[in-house]
Amino acid sequence: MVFNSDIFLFAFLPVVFALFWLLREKQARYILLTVSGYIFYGYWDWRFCFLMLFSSLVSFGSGLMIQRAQDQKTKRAWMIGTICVDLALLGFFKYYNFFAESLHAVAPAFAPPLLNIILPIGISFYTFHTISYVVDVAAGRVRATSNIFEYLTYVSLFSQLVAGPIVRFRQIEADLERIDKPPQTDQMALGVGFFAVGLIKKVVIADTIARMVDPMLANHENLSMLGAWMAALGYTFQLYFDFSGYSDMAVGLGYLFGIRIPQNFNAPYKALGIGDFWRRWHISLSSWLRDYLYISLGGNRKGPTRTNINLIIVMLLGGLWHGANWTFVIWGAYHGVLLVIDRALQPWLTRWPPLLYRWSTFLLVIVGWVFFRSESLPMALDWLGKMVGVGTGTGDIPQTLMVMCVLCFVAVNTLPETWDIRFPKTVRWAPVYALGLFLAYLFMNGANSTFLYYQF
Amino acid sequence: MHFLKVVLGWVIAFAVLLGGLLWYVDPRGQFGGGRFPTVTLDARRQKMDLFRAFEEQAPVQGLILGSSRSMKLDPAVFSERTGLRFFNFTVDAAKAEDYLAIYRWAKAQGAPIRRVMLGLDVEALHNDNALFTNFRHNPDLRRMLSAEQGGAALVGVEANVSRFKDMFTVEYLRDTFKVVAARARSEQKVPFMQFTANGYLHYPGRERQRAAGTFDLTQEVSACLPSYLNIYGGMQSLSPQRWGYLETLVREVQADGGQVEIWISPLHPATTELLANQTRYTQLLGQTRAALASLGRRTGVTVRDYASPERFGSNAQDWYDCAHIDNRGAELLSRRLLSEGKGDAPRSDRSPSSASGPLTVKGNPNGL
Repeated sequence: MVFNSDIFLFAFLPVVFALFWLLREKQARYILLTVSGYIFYGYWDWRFCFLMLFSSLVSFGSGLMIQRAQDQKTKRAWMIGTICVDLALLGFFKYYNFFAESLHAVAPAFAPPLLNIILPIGISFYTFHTISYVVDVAAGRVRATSNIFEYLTYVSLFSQLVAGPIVRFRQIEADLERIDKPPQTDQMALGVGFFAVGLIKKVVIADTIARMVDPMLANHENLSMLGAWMAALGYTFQLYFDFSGYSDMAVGLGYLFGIRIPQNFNAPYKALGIGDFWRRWHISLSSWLRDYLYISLGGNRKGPTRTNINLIIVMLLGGLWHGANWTFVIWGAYHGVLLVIDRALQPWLTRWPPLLYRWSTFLLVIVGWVFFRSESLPMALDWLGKMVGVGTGTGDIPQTLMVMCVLCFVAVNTLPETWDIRFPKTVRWAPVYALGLFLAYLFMNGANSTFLYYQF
Repeated sequence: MHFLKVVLGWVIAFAVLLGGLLWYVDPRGQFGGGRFPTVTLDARRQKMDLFRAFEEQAPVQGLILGSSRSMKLDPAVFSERTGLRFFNFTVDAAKAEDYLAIYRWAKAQGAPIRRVMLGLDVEALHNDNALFTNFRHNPDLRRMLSAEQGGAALVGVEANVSRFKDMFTVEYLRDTFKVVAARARSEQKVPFMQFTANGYLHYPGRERQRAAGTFDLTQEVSACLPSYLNIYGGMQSLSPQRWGYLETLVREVQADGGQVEIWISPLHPATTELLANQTRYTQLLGQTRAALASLGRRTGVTVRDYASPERFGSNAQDWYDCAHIDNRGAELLSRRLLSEGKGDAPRSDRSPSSASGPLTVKGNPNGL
């Protein structure tokens, strides 16, 4: 199920919301949210509900065992065991064929057979949820919950189940504990406000750009030099408005159920440097990688060389997390190298005029998205080649795309991020919220679109 | 909660307000208002009305089915050659479900159909199985497939809900502004398409341009090519469900004592070339030919392959755009279909009803 579908907006959400208000008991609300999360997920393919349930039960049980363990060694054993189970599931469903295909290409004799595996939607997200939970319990940052439905609610919360943000248990534990308390009026306003802004970002901006960029890239062999740049720029904005729109909608839905989902974007295209970009883009993922991977590898505690190696490893794995494709690996490596260079040149770069620094960062990010968007390495190389004038074609560039890109560029450089909007909370503003929702629906209705991050 | 209720109340108020406006203006002619001009033509609805009136005069015995590509086939020519009273019930973007639903609907009106001439588009068997908007919105036709789709009442309700729901789009709103503005400017545009009482199509604007020598075929062809790329870009195979509708139609007509003839409808050579280079059109055409040949063997229906104009004696000039043949092309196709003999070559854009004498047609009728 997707947020911008009739089944979600007119059936699922109203029913779940109404039941949520009818059921006042904490446990009943946990069960309702868990069941609704599984229905939301199972609407795509019910069979994979069992996979999510298995992963949840393993981490829930492991959390309790870690909590009860008397010594660090046992805690560590439970933690590592659980992480291994989670990573094995993720590895098998997401990466098995990738490695098998890669081995077939370089060493066919050692390659395992290719299997017809369907990637379970959202597996990357809920695997990171469960891993962060057991690690946090083992580190004593959070107490393991003994309430199975509270935990299942955390993992299967439909608002962030299939495309994030990656929420840690400790970030929403307090809200889950007081879920039986009625949400405040201002939370309703925030909920509607975030949801409306997210829906507008998605259906009005991202989908409009997609309708122009997708055909251009489907015929990338024919891109002109300007066309290649416009396609890259268009995708840069499409991805941002699509994913940040999804995150805003997730936050809005969270508020409606009294759960505060943390910020996932903070004006990333205003970043000064690649390091700053990653502090602003998909914050829940980059902070997850920092806290659970980079720091575990030693972070910056083992000298500059090791720090740089760690940065590159983290970004490589971050790239691979997005998808089993060499384009993602290269995209991750590209950002890893940029991070290293950015760190090394910081004293010099910070003396640049801020606007120049910001826009050069933006330029580097655009180039990175070429790998992120390309379906294969040859496509990425062809596209990049055309951006520098190699092998260009004569393809048309829709004028609307140029206008949209200019408007988006101005918007991302001047307008506040959703989190910086001071949503009015009085009912006299209700017509404005309603108009926003209504207009977004006019754009959404009849269009057949899904969110880009669903594939991850 | 109070805040949320007020917001939802406003959303409903906006929906009622806009819905009322759209219903009143009715820019696509779906609600029968007729107070404003319309931007699109719902051939299904128009032809259903025309058919009822035509059937009232005398029973309809022959149907021409297919998409807009077969709209130029003149029922008068078919009637003249067969002695049966024909109606052209071809509709825009027809898919296999249209053929079956229209046949059943025509029969339900009391028409004793003896002969069905079906111009089959390869994309009428598109694997997306998605219902075309005007079919989806048509409860009368949808009910004709209720045996395949479930309860007739539910299908009808769904069609009506879908019709009202689809009003709430930016495109519909844009059409509304367009027709209101046209009315405000008192514009009297020449209609793009017009049907005669027997379902035959005229393109008034194009026909005037042809007569004045200002018609630009090259421009028209290149303008519509992207839409065909779009259609075939997503078509990977023939839909078993749609093939089922087609076969059911054949068997039902035969069970009713009627006769079916099917031909693969033509595309402009430039369209065929583009589709062959950039889509799976060639393979799909091959699959359609093979499936039709098999159907012919099993049921005895006559099947012909007119996928390219030379197969019925036409050429790349007998067109209005990348898929729609002009009067000359339609005459050639009709005569070939009816296996007529010798005579003068047709003059371009001569009105079919004024055609005098048979056409010169050489070669075989390209049976499969």
